[in-house]
Amino acid sequence: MTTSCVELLERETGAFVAVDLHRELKVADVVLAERSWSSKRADLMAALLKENVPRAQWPQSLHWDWRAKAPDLKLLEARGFGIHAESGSQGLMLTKNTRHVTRLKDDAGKPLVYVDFLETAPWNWSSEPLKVRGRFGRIGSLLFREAVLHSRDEGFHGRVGLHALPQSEAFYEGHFGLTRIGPDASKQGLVYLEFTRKQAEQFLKEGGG
Amino acid sequence: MKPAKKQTGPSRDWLQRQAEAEEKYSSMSVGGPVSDLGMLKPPQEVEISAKTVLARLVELARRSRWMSRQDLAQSAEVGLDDVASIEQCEDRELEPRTVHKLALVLKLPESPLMELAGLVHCHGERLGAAAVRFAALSRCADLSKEEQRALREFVKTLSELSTGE
Repeated sequence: MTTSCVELLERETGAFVAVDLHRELKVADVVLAERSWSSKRADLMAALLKENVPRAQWPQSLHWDWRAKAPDLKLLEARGFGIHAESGSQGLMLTKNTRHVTRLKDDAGKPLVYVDFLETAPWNWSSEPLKVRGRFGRIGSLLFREAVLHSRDEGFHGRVGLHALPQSEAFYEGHFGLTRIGPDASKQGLVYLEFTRKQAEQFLKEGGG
Repeated sequence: MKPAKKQTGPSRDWLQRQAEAEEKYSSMSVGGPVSDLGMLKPPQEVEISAKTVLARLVELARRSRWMSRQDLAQSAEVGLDDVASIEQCEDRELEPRTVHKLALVLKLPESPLMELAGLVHCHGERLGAAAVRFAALSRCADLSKEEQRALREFVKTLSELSTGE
């Protein structure tokens, strides 16, 4: 498995914690990760119910189950990325690199890396209503960066496409500057966004590379 | 596949910016097709893990009788590791006999307990809703009044389910 060391920020202490970033996850890695995440999902759901937090404010990936998506890792087009600390898996991403092409005019029809799923471990989620601060930061950014690097290595010049959950649109559009294509009826109305070749070059130039 | 280029790590400055940005945004989750994982299901359809509920139910019922795990294992004539495994919510297959014996000692209705243990499926939505309410009210380390009430109410629902009311 291709692995390198990256640093996460522990929000509470401000300490940098060295963790492993894996680039070739197997089905079993993802199943094991979900096993530890699922009980935390249940705890979080119980806390949200107890505090009567409106459903609209619940994390929209609260009831995901990566075990359902893990078999996709057997596909040649799929690749699994994960960030792993001593305390367990901190974030997962599943990408696909065939069958997906850019929808933007500039590079229309050219291949890109499609981020099928990306999620951080439930204990890394901050929740305003529950007054909870997620443990580690940078996970989402580091995983997205991996998607861009993967695209570059595949010869796709950093082009990336993804369907963001409504709660995540601002992160990808506002922070990383992905171009918003719009709601996609084929994906239950999730907004589709793309990172163009130019945007990727700029992203890598600004320190992400 | 082309050979991977040598990757250098991101700059400290970039990492700092990401850490600050992630504080501002509540979610980074990406996913689709959403139907695969049941995403965007109406929240009332969300199911809490039955084993989590079983773990809390057994633990609270045991503690309400002032029993240690060892006491419970001995009284029910089951392995201590079985009791520990249930309460720690481990993903382990349970024997029907174990659930039957625990139900007997803890004076809990057997059939919904079997369902929570994943051994049968018969009570569906009503059990699910009661389980979610119970799980939401039973997290403290001590058996508080609130927990006692949650336990009583949940056991009452389980009894009603087992008698078909």
